[in-house]
Amino acid sequence: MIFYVCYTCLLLLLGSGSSRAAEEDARLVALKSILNDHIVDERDLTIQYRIYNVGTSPAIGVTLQDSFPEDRFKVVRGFHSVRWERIAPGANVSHTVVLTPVGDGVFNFTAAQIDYDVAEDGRKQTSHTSAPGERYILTSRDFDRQYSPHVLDWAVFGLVTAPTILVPFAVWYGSYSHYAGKEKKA
Amino acid sequence: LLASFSDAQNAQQCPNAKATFQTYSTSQLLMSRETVFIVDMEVSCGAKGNPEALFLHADVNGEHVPVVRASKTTFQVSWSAPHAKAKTGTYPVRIYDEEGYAALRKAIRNGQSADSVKPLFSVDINHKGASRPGFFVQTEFIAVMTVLLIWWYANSTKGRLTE
Repeated sequence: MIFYVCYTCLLLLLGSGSSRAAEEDARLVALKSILNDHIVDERDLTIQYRIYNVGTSPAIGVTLQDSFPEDRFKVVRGFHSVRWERIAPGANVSHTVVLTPVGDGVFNFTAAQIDYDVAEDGRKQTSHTSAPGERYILTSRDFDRQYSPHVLDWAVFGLVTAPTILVPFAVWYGSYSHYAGKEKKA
Repeated sequence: LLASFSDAQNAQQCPNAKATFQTYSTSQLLMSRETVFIVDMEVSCGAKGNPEALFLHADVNGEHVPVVRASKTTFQVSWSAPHAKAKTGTYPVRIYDEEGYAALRKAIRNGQSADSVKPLFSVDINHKGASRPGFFVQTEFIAVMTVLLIWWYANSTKGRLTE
């Protein structure tokens, strides 16, 4: 028991001496996520970045840099390279960019780069966000097949099936009204 | 005397503050798990101004939203909310510089109205709501109900006739 206590004390002393600077630094954890359920050609693609400061110092001059090949994506709104002056310890910030895919197929969404000063003394740190990985971009046609209301399709269906209902009905109604009328007279 | 000096410096930062805005809010439910709002802005401070020295803060309906810098003259404000909470309507985005935001916080602490501090820039996002493709009632549902109605009419008529 005493040995265990001494051992722990020794570890704490040694540990705190060498890593005091690291304990007081800022540390950023960053997520890059795609908010779409489906990524569709020529529709909005929403990408959100969240940065959390899990350290004990403010992170200073935080820059987020991301890139998207111009032949695969057009930027609709938002900037993909931005800078926060300060992220307080324990705070989190978010950033959103909206793109439009150009063309369908598989695309590998890679991590974005984060650079920041870990403390007031200007020591720098480079980090990365998480990477959403490979996602499949649907064609407009495939997406509409599942989600559009198909109004025209139903209208055509209605027109085509209407004769199979209306013709027997008309025949029946013709004879019904003819004989019903006769019954009443009698 | 000190306060007026900082005001003068502040005015020097951006004497003829002008900005152009481009806004966005999610319009298709399936294209995003949450409703996102984005304001892109390009700032000019006149010939003697220095937009590089601006540190901006945004306030949307009483909530603080950080402003990020994209270049010497461009900034972005963005936030997200769950679809259910992001109601259709106008979201006023008020953008303050460092001193302006400190003044705003002080005014709110003293119980004054937020309108007593004038923002550097102001823009509204008209959120039309996020929706799914199609109508309120699915066309398949309409088709099925129509067929059922026809069947019910024919059945009940036949029942009446064969009584």
